[in-house]
Amino acid sequence: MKRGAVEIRVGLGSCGVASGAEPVRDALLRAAKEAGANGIVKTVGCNGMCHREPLVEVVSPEGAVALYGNVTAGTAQQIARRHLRPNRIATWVRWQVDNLKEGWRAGYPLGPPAPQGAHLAKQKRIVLENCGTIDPLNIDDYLARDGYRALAMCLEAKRITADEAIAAISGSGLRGRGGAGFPTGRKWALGRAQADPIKYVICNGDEGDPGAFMDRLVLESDPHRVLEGLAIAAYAIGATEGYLYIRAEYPQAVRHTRAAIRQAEERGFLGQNIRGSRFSLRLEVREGAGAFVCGEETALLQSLEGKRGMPKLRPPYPVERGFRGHPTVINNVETLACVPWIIRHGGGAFAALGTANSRGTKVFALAGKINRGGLIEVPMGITIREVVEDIGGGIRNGRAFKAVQLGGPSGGCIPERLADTPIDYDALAQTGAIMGSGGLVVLDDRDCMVDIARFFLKFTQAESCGKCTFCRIGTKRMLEILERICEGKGGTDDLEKLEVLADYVGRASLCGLGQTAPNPVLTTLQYFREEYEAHIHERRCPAGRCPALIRYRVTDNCIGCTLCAQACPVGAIAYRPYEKHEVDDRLCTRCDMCRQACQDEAIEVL
Amino acid sequence: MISLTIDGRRISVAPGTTVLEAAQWLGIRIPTMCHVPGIEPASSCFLCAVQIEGRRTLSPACGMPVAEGMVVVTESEDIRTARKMALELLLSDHAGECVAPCAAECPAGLDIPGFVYGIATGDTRRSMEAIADRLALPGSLGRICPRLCERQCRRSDLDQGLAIGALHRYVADLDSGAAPYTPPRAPSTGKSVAIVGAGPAGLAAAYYLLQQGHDCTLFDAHSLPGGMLRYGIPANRLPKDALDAEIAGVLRLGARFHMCERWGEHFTLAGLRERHDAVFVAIGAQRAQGLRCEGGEHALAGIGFLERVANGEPVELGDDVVVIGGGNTAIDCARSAVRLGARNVRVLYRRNRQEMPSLMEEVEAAEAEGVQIDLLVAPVRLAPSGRSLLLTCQRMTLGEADASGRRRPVALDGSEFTTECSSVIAATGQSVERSLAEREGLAVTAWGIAADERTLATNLPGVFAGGDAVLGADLAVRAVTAGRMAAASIHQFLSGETVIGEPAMAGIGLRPMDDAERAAIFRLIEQAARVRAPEIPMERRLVSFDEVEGRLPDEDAAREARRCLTCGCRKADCCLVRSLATEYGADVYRFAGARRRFSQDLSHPEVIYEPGKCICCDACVRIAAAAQEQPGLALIGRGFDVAVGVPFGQPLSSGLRKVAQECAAACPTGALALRTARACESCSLAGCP
Repeated sequence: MKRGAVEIRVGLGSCGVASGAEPVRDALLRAAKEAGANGIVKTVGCNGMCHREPLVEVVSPEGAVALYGNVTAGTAQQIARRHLRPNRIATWVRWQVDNLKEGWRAGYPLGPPAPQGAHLAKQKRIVLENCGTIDPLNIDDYLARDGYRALAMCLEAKRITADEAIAAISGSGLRGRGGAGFPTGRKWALGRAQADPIKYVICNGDEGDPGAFMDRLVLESDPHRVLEGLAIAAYAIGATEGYLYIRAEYPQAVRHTRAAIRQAEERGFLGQNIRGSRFSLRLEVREGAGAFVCGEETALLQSLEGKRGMPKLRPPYPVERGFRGHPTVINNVETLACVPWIIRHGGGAFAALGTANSRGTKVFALAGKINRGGLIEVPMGITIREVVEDIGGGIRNGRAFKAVQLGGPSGGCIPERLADTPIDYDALAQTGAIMGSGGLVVLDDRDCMVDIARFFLKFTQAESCGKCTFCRIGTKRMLEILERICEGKGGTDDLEKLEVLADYVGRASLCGLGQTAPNPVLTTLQYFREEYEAHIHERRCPAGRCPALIRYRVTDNCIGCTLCAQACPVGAIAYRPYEKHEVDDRLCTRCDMCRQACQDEAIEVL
Repeated sequence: MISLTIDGRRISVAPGTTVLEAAQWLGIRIPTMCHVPGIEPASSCFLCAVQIEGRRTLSPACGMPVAEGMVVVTESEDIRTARKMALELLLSDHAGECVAPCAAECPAGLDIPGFVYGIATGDTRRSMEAIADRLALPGSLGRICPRLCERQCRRSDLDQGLAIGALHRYVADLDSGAAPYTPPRAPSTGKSVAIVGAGPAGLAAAYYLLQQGHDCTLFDAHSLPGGMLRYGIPANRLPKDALDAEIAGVLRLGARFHMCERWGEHFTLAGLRERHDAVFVAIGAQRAQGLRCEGGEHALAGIGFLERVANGEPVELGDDVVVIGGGNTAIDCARSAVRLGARNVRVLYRRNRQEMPSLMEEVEAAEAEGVQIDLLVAPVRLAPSGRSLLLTCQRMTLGEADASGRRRPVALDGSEFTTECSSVIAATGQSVERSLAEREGLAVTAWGIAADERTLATNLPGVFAGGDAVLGADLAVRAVTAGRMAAASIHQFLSGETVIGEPAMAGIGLRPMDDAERAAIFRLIEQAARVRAPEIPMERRLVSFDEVEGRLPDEDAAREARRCLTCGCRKADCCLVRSLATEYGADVYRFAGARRRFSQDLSHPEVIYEPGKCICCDACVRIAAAAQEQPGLALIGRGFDVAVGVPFGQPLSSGLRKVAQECAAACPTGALALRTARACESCSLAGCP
């Protein structure tokens, strides 16, 4: 970036690419070339505002930021014209003419930059500090923002010893962000205490919860940060070799991390005798083949050793006997991403954020029936309601806030009446849900809680490694019961069976996958039992969701516009303009397309 | 050394010891299935679940290393529930059947594939032992049993069911030669048992009680033992010498018979209880139900008629005989009448042919002998008219189903007709003489004496009852089974043990079975017709009580035996899942749902792999890995569909080259079994429980 020039950042994380950011970037590059301002367009990762992708951010020489969301190649051109000053008068004239012409045609109305106050006001960015700001493929960008300073603080002139680094992490109160919340400092201290001269550090990037993408975003947008955290972990415990286990479904994360390792090695932040010290570290990316269970640390180790990813009984814990039988510290991506900040600012600064037992910040993937979905980072202690209403902008389409599903398939549902629960490991655990790795799905009154439980259990059941009897067969039987209930075929003893299965699946499985698989069922049963009962005893889905238990009917609001008939994929609504439409129950597949297409709220669910 | 507490007992063990090993040193038994000593534990089946103080979850003892101060509980309500549920879940996904469908249907629980296998391999002695283990009087039963088993034979889905009755008669007949099989007898216990009734139930009870070393005295009102087998079934179906040969077997074991002694006349139950240590009441259902219509007293009782024929007494029937009833007794009466020279024999039955309780083969045989079956006819009136009888009947039609599930016959108005005949035999059922029993203080039911279903214990201590005396007139095979069950209970009673009856093994069937599964089972089976037993010519059938069906020739018997699909599990007797399911009282269908399907890998020369029975304990996977088999075995797939297989879809023969036998021995269920294993005795491998 040239000092004193405008900088245009275009987000090209996987989410940006998926929403068409590449043509946007090309348009911006063309415009910059025309303006004679090469080098001002910067490819960055994602800043978390996934609901507005593709995103373009224009930073003025004075540092003022203008953010544009939902940018297309066309609007990108207009953005460039608004913010850039061509160095040739001819270009300037042409741009003004084009602006006028487009103004007449109103082809690409470009509004003012989006306000972002509400969305960001309650966030606190530590992990996401650089995301969407720096070019992940350019180590200089990272270095310009204090990158590798924490590592340098440890190595150069020996300002921070390994024990001091561990003390700082312990003092920060950082707990594992992968879900279980084990104190990171304690894990490192245990690792350091092992007598074995060969030790390993591993970054767990096998993020698999449906709807969660914290790790992907960080690895894509700020990979050096994770490498630096991992290097400090290796320094702290005395490891010289480490791995980043990243799922193969994250090709950009893998590519960026590999590139970052190469750059870091070139600049001497990884490799032999880093920064002239006696500390050496070799890091390598290993791709996971897509098994959810490999996010469980013992299964991850098996997979890393080239075996089938199957969890093992703990003890022994990996920190005692892990990769290839040697002490191994395994930390999650987000946990490691906190580390450089803590070292730079001191444990106390991190500990100053949050609650007594949950310090610092937590990244969440906010999704579901919410106005502003995406990746957010909040200080611990903020309430669920603040997240949903202030950061997420409330429920979409003005519907009622019913519950949040926290922690993905291992987590649970917290009802709206408990929405003032703070984001805190212990407070969340008390509700029956878990902090989890950061999936946060917001549900409205049209979401059927039985269906939600079924959805998550279906996922865990399919992803069970099949080792433990209760997890392999018990979850299947639970799923069959849920499917039965959703189809209106539930029996009177099904809830009792479900509960007893849930109890033993949770207590008689080796790993976290099985132990937590019943959570979505248990919490929905705890808070929404009457919904289950309505399915079973009244053969009715109160949320109007379960296909077998609902019908669609056209009300007198119908104006005969045929939108529904056009939307129906199975021809269950006859095309009869200016007549009240009718849904043929026998053909209808309950896909809900007609109701969504209707502009007059003339289709109701019975 | 590390000290810990298991079930309140302290023990010090070396570091690295597992909780399971520590418990074993204390003599505490923890059940395991996936554990293979000397191989790295998998800790997957959760049968060895124990509670370690301070842990939220249950822990598998097989893989859990001991820790200083650890407090372990190995038995509790919670732990039992977990283990039971683990078994129930495993069985809910088990495409296997412990016993063959024929054996599961047999009231006696005869190991049918087991004894048939003996015939197929020429080892009929082994067959006889297998039969005698479950069934007293096999020769008689082989002749007269309605063979519920054959209807369940899986072959009937392919061609025809196996001729099981003919085969077990074949074995029994061969055995009745010069050196008949006599089961070993335990040393005398000095206890004596009185058995009232020397029919099939009483004889069977004596047969098994004598083997246990108890003295048995049988009391019977008739002059010869055998009960209904002798007096209710004509010799053309069950020759008296065949029956005598089998009773001789009971005599050889040391039974004492007090014949011509009638309960209430010559002895009382109270007296028997004083003189003996236990009593088994097996008096049968001897009272004939008369013809319930006007003039019914002019009819002969079917059962009385058959007894007189059996005793060789002359019976004057005349030329025109009418038998009323649709059961086996009716058909036996009709066929006996033919043999006594009646020219015109008719059977009248008030429902249709398919409702007839008698065996269809018997009905067909009777018709072949000239008996006329007149259906949907009921008697209204019987009146003497000179030397003959006038029987008035009416035609019936079938109405709504009654309690028995059969459609109730309803009279058609104005359909009465009268027929003249020389005699009428009423074979309309028998009932139990309950008044004596009641007088002596035995509780009764609507059918007979009240006895516990499992133990056959009555309300009087030391008195047991079974057979027709309890059930009402029923199948002989149920009577001999009752005798065996009573013997087990009486033995427990005499040994001072809690009387629980015969231990019942948990068992599971292949159900529901779909077409694909059936096709997998029949994949390598060629069609072959069922054997037919030889019959004597019709001329002799019509004039003599010679046995109609003969014994199968050796060749035919062996060929028929080879038709057996040997259903059931090769490891039924040494399956850990089954024995633990029995121990923990698992309800095998509690969690029934989607399950794996039956399939077979026959590629390996030593073992057969049936993935449907695999419980994914991965013992074989670990054994193969330890032996460095290439490529060995692996768990394949994810979720519910995980299965053990050879990587890349190769057959078992290429996965296991060195340790197939060890794997089969370690397999806790019938998924991997030796080709030669039919029952446990042939599986002599180390590690086989």
